Amino acid sequence: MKKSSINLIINREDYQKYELYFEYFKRALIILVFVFFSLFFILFLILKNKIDLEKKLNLQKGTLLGILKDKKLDEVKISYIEKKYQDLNTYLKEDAFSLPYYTLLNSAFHESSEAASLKTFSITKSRDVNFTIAFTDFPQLMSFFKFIESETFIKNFETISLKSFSVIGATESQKENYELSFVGKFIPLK
Amino acid sequence: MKIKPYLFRLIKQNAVYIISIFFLLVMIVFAIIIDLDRISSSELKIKALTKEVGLLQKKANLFQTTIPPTEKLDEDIKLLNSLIPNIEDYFSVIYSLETLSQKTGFFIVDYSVNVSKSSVDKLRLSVIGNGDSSSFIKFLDQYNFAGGRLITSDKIELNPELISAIKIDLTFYSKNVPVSGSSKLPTDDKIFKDLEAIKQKVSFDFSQTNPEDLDLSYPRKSNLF
Repeated sequence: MKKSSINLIINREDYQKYELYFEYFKRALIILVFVFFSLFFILFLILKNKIDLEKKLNLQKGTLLGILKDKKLDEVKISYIEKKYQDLNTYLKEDAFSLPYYTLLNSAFHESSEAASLKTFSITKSRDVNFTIAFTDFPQLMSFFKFIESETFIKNFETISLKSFSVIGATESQKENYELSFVGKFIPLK
Repeated sequence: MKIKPYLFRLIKQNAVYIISIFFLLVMIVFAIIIDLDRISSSELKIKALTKEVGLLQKKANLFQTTIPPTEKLDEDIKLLNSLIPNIEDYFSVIYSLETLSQKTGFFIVDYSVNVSKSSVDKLRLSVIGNGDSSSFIKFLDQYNFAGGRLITSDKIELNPELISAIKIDLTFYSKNVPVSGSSKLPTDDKIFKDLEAIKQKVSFDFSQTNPEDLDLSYPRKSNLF
């Protein structure tokens, strides 16, 4: 026989328990509706911000591209200038840059003694230097020896050594002459 | 398992709520997945755009602050093409030596090409010049650029007592630089400052510079002396 009604007396507690669950369901639905719309609103705001930012950046990009479009040819020119400039600097490394070193040496000698004269000077691109200094006065030569051992002179060189020392005897037409030959390497000036 | 009748009734009564909750949950999950995906792709786009705009802005700023105007760039190209021509031009070598002689007072009386030490982009000359020590020193000071061609000398021998027939090896350079697309722009104006300094040392006529001239070739002299 088919049951037409529910026996609430027997299953009351059970029924109330399930009814409470379904009550929770209803409340959960209200919360979910609120969560759904809040989430929808928040995500919409975030997306809108992102899209607005994208539009703004695209606009900026377009404006900047417009400005730089006229500079395309200049960019090609700059690229060409850079390449040539690099070549120029590479080729300049092949140069001995003799004059600054010659001037440096000359002024150093003038600081030490008026009697010293630079007789020969040769320099290579790797700053290897050879020079000969001549003196006609022995006391000046002695004081010069002190000078070349001083920090003022030494600081200009990576290495420096006395290659030769010669005395050329006096003749009728020429006074006695002392020559000092040095070999070394300058410190880079630039 | 048999569902209790009152439970079945309760389910039936609340079916709308159950379906709504299920539907909302699905909607929330989908909304989160779809929107997060859109947000992350938008984030990537923004990141790429920001980088691109930053670079373009930097480039535009460089053009406004560091990079000289087009006329100056044309001058620089003309100067560099004169110093290092794309093709070796022997007339400009002679012209350069002549200019140096006139400027320094160190007169070059003879020269010979050192073939063994020359190459496609290097022309090595042994020159003999006359002049006193001060003119030779002036020559040493100016020979790099003052002739209008880049000249180097890898070894200098100086004898202050010798006033005639001073021999010196000079190297002239030429190199064909292909005109290519844009590269990374310089971040400072060092190149342009250096080139301005070189311009001061070179007597060079920039008045005929044509900004529309894109040939980027160096100027040839019609009158050598």
